[in-house]
Amino acid sequence: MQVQFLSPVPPPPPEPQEEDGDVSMVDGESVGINPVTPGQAIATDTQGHGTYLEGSTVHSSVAGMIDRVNKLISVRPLKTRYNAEIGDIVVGRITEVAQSRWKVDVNGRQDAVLMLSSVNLPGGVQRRKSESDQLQMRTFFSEGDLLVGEVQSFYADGATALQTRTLKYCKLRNGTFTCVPPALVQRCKSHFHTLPCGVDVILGLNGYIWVSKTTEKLPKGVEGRAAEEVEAEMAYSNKNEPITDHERETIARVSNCIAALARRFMYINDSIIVYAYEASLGFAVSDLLQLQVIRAITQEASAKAAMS
Amino acid sequence: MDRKRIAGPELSVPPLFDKPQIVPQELAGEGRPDGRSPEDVRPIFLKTGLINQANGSAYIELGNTKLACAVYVLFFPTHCSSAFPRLITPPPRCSYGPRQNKKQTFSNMGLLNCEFKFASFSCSKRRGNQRDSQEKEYSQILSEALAPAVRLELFPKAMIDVFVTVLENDGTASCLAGAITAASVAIADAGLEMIDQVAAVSAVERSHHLVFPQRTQSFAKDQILMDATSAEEKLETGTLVVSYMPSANEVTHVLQTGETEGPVTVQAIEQCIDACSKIYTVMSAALVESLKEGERPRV
Amino acid sequence: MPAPLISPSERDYITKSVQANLRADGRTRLDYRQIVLETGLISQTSGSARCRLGEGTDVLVGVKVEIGQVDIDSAGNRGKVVCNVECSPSASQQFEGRGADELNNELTQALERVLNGAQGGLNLEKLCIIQGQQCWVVYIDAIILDSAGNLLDAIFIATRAALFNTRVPKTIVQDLGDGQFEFELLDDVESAERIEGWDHVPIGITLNKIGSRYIIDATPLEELCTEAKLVVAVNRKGHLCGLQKSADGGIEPSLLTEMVQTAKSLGQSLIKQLDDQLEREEIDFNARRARGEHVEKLGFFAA
Repeated sequence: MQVQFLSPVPPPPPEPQEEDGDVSMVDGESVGINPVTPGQAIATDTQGHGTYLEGSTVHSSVAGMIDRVNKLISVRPLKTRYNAEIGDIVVGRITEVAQSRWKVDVNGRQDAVLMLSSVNLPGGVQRRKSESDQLQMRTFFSEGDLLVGEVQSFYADGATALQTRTLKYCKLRNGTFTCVPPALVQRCKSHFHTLPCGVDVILGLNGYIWVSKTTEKLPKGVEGRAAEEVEAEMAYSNKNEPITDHERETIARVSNCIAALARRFMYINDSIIVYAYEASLGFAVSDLLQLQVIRAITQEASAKAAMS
Repeated sequence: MDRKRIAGPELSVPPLFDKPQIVPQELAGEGRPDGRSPEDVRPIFLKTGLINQANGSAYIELGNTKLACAVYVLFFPTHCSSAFPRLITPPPRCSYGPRQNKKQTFSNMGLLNCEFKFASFSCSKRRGNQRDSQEKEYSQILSEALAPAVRLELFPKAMIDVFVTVLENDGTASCLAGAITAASVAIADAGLEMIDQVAAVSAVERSHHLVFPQRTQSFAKDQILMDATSAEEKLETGTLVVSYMPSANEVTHVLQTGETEGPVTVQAIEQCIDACSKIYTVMSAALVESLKEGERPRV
Repeated sequence: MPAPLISPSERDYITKSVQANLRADGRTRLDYRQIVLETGLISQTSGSARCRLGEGTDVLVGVKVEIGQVDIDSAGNRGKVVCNVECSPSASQQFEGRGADELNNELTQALERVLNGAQGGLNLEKLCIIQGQQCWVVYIDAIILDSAGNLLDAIFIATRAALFNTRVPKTIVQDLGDGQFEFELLDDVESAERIEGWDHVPIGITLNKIGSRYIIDATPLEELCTEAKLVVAVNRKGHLCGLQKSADGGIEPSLLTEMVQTAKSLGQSLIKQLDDQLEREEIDFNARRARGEHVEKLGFFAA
């Protein structure tokens, strides 16, 4: 048995902001320098999200950082629920099966909606959804299932509509789930990553992250059936593939690294995860839960990120 | 008396009181007042079908502990009702229709909802009408003890209500044990699919050095009394309730209070498991009896 | 906080991880998360402690001793222990309104069953002030500030720490003759005493049976996979002070015996380490006060 009692330690003093190379300044913008509070007058430019107009001055309506694109000024809150944007890749959990639709928890203000008509069903990608499909919706997704999908559109009440009409969007298997603040997940070209350590990571923009064993991308067609068809069936499978202890350990290590980065409120993308993973190799996986180890590996990771 | 003006002495010693001797003579000896040996449980009377309106019911007596149990099934699962004609037409006076379950969302498993109640006259002190925290807890224990036995996965959306009323309490632990036993029989009587019957029994652990402080070094003389009456329970240093499925060989619930050394409790659990197997035969006999005399489907 | 749901593949992954003795966060089956403990942070109480498990579960226990009437039922020479556990809605949305009632009752009963009575360890007779009339009532109130699994263990740890921290004002009893007694409270803070028997207070270990194995200190997802839970209360001597199964599953008798044995040894070593930590904290506190330093409780802003 391992048990460790600790006294609380005071929070570390805020680190001095570096002039360059800080990971949070990827675009060279002045992010992270200018925090504002609700009600604070900001400028007289065009108002964007997170602001309101009083007379001719723009005031901030949230506590966060100023985002400026030319004349458009908006304030991004640091701690917020997920604000969906069309095209975002999200990881979600089914909370309810309703009339020809699923309700999906995506860490947003309200549950997202996944219509039966916006999923691929086994047996022909473009086939029509019949009444029998409606009756057996739980065989595709039932309460508790995790899936990865894309934000398709919005309803009038602000609810998000998802779609999973591509083969890469499917039910999630072979791995473990982690949750981080949505603001930390960086918008990237791709959110499906295969790390060099042999682990797949899906970085949902809503802060839900799926870490799993790498699976072969192209299953071979079995007995004359098209590969696509097999994959469409696989997309709804609940069965895990066999996972070795080594793979399990790597998955645990990666998800602990992600949790460590989130703990230190650092941006999360594939390269910083790899750096943190490399830095963590000197420690046992369970040690990655300890505060001093978290500090060490995140510092090393951000130093590496700054160099490259 | 005015303490401000008439000051007492600066320091005084708190008075020492003699410990009242609380052990009645008949319980201080080795034997038990009703002549049972420590391993014996009280004679059990168990019968199904006490309550006509219910889908299943049972009545149990453990000596003076008496309780009644009724089971109501809501949202009958269609595939099993055909096998059990008693379920097709609920008794006409049944006021428990399928209850709309507004709070609960869809559940793939059936829900087992248990309510345990002491009748207000059942204990030496009058009980209130409202369920108190002990009754709420026993309700939860009851459902946790029965859940492993009932094949809830076969009853999606269904709600199984189990109501237990204690009519006479002679040993609180035996009430809980009796409730589990009776509820298990009542569920079987209602024709619900089960993996096994759940038999339950209570015991008290009496550590001599705590009851008789004068005689020290005495854990060797610890006694485990099965199925204690409330008089015996008063002297307890620990009580134990174990529920057990004999065919499946699984302990479905265990609740122990009081301080004991580990081996004593382990031994007590083993004794309880043995006793459960005996109670199991009584339960089976009661069910077989009810099947013999009960309504059979007419050809 | 995400909804309390789990998918079949996650369940399978966790079950197999437990089998492989490597859990989703890298711990082995019998590892605790880091426990952060601080005592004496609420000045209005007679004793208080806050216990955090890892990054999640956060429990605050306040002990208040008040003068009350002796129960007529008992021999009339005992104090009382009253426990209450409340899940704050801030911990989870599910605790809002009446949502936490059942959980509150379950936790309260579990705590009360262990602490109230001879097995609770506290010397209740010493808490009696005047026989048949007045006694100290020890109110133990726990608040769940944040919930991420394994609430009961955290409550027990914090309770033991809070009782270590508790000081009861000294009373002076005067015999007025004719069987009349009066008592006086000493205001002097320094003379206040610890409750006798705090070191015999048991702690609870929750074992979660997943598959054919069992784990301690489960995370919320692991709790969703739990078939049966066994709470074992153990005191310093390694005596059993309570045993309760919960959740909807059964346990084979041989496994049950093994779980009880494991919990016993785990409990004893946990109590030892807890006491070491409490003493360390106290020595450190006294040393700093002797040096005339201002000792500040970190409370809720600690990392």
